[in-house]
Amino acid sequence: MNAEESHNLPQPNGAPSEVMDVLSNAEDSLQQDGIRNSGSPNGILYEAVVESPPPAESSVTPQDVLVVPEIENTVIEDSVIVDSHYDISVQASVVDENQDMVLATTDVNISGQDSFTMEYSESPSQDIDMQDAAVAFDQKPLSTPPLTATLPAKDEPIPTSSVHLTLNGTKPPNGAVLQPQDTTPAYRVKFIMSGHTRSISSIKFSPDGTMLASAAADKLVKIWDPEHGELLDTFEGHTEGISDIAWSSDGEFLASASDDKTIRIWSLETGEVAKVLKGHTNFVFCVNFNPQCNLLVSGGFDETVRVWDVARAKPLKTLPAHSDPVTAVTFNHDGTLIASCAMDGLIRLWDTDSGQCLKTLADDDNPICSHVKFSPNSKYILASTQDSTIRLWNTQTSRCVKTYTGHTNRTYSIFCDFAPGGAYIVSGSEDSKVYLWHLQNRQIVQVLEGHRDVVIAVASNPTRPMIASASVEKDLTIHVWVDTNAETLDS
Amino acid sequence: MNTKLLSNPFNITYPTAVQTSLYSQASFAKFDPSGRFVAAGLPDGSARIWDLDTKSTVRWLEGHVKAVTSVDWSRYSRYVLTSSKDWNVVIWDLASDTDPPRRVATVRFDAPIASASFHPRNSQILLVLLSVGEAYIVDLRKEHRGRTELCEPDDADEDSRQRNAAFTVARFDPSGKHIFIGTSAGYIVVFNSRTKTMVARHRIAGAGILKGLDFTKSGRRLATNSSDRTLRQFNLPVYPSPPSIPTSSFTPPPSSPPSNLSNGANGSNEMNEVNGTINMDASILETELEPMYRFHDPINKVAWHSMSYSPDGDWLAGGAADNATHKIYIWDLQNEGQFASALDGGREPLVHIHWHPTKPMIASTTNRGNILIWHCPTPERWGAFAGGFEEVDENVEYEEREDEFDIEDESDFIMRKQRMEEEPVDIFALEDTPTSTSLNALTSTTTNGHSHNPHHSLSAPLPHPHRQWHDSSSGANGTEVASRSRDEDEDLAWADEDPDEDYMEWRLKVLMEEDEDVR
Repeated sequence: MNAEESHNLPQPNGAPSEVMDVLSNAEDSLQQDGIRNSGSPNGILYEAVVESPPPAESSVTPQDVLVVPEIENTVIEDSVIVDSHYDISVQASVVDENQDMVLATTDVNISGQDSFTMEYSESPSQDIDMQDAAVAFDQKPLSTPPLTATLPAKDEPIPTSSVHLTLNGTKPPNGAVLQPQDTTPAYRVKFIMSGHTRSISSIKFSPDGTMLASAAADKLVKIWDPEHGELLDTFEGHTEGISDIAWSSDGEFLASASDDKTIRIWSLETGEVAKVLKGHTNFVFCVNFNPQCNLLVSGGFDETVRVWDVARAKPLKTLPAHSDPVTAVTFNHDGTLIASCAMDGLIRLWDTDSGQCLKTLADDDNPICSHVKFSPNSKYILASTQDSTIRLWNTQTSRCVKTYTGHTNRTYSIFCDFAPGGAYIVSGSEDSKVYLWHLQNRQIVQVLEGHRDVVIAVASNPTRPMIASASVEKDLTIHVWVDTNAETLDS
Repeated sequence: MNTKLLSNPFNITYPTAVQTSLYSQASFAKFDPSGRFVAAGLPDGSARIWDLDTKSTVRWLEGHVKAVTSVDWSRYSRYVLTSSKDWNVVIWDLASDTDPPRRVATVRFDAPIASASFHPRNSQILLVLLSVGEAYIVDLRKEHRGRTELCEPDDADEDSRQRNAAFTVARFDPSGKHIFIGTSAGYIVVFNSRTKTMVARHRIAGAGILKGLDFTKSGRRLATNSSDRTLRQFNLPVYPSPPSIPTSSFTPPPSSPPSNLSNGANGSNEMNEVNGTINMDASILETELEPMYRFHDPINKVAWHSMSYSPDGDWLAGGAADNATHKIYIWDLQNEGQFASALDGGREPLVHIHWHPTKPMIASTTNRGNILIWHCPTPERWGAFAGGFEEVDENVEYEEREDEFDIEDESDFIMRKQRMEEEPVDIFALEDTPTSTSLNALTSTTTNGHSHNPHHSLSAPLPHPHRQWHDSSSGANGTEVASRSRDEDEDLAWADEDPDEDYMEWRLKVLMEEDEDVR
């Protein structure tokens, strides 16, 4: 809405014609003052996104993170911060390039809310009118004490003081619109890549985000360049269709799980098979490396979860994990836990070291579980089930803390993932669309349309705002989507 | 990570059973600081790095031509130091892509090496003990390059002949500020690592030849092994830091013994008097240390091959030098050092033990070269297989909640659920578990990426393990340390100059083992 509004803003009089990076400059100035300190446990993280309707010469930077550490009586840009306990007052002013004109200021008091919006209504300085330019800061407390522990609580007073941010820079075109980074994603299709001749079952980005691997029922693994939409390599060797692939965290190896009951480990360096893991007695359906890349976990239609020694292609453990085909297996962030889920509707957590079952998560109705994925901190598990629902489980309390619905998942083992940046959840759907939900408020924030058949596989790029999705029989394409909101941020 | 799910307050915290036996031809085995690997030294001059995840050898360090006498790990396990009877010490870089790994440095002496260790803060500073009884500090940093022999100052004391005996064991303390050296005459000599000057000399009455030293992680307690078949535990005094420039206005360090010495467990208070004499010239603290506890086997009078503290310092394990059995004795230091358990590892005699850096796990080496990995088995919890099912040890009378079986309106239920789901979740912030090894690996990959994600910076302020460790070491003796912090800083700053390239995020590359059944 902000961008829309700002289009209609009157062109301010006497504004410097050059456009520059409002926030990045603000950040620079803060940095000079030694205020930016992302490591400070006492900091509050303020972030703002500048989105501007684009005149030709526009070079507004979209996003920057301002971290204000110790707030008590901090001096930022010669302004003493007024100490006001249990209340945060934020003043923002936009100053022109030479820092001799205040273009707009605003101050707002907030208390106990997660984000706030402030609007300029008047300009205190000479002849510049910044009417209606909206400024919003998305304020997120850091997770470390002491300050932050008290911040999000709504019923308690917040022991912080005020912040004065001086955002300096030339006047943005048609007024700056600062908006919280996570209002809406705007993924647009960038490439449509085709090459597989049968249903694509799994796609995964390499750990550095520069490559995309895909596997399909046509027994092939293909490596793509998602930045340029080109096919880089094809790995041939499996004798049956492939259900899942996984990258090693160093990006050196790719493992593929096939209906020929084997797992092949491919070396990206040589483009050859490095190892063949044999042991499953039925189709292998899912596979993943541990973060150290020395172990591999797999699950399949023989209802077992197997742990392998990667370098020696040796089975280490066979866990009699489930009573139905295993649909997903994964390690947590430090490799000490394994999560598995199966068509029996159970999600189990295992101790990697001992192979013992630590916990079982199950919903009352036991819908078939399609996919599980640990959150980056392993505190939560994202699980999609074939009752068209995705749930976020807290692994410690065994409680379901979020549910995401709206898509269709009744038949296939559809992948779900945290979208790049971690603010959204992304999943394929049997209605040929890709859905994005807001992680926290569980609303659908975007639906990506373009595929012509069921979207089983989705993947989030670990290093850039990019999503890939792939579809089955009638479509057979891989779509690469890029967040246009976020993309402008990068350039 | 799993401790949350596994933890049981009644768990015993020492190992009780053999988990694995690694057939290694080793003469000793040592865990790395992360606890993922074991380094084994072999009499044929090689050393092997075992991966405990896969229970397989991941690297062969082949470079020495005679028996390897010691190995040491750098603080993030990237570098391995081996010493050998072939007069060489070698530093290996496990982050290199080859097997054997790249040699960072080879340092040659003119006698067989008894042991070598890294400075705990900088792997470019080595402490080397020769089998002829001399100890050297080798500094490989550009600015400080050189090798310095550690010598007791010559004094014309009547018993100096006795004192200036051969050095038999040498270790850095966990902070790296001091070097502790045991002598064949039953003395422990303490040197400052930076100035290489002697700061203290302790006589250990009745010890004979000192054979081994081990510190608790805090560095406040020291265990010794000596030829009198007794293990001793000492509380260490705080050592004065030698001034960089000797001044005439030097004030002697406190001659009174640290108060904790008087907490002697055997109740022999009269024994605790310390014969403190201050050598004014060299500012050396000359005291007799009185052990807090002594451990020995009164029946078999067995000698000890080695001993090792548990990570929390609550237990001490001693490896018995019995030539027919494999026995590890565990003493409970929380309960006045009383004997807790003897682990029986079978018929292959024990030659070396080392306790895991974080877990109740011990690596003990047999004289046949096998490494036994001891662990604390956890019983299978069958309740974990059923969702929402909880095992109880005893029957519990269940009292239902007042509203437990009330029929709730569907819409109310949905509303309540919705409200519960409003609670924000944090999917990035890690809990402060110093044991989770990949914490930094995770942050490194995220921070290397684009900064479009606000949460990336959220995961940045992780507790630096190093700092934490330092905190715990200084926390033990509060004010004294605070008053000395300036001196300490000087020692630590010296060690931190020109830091090595050891970092937590380094990865051991997985090297595919050659085999014939590929394809």
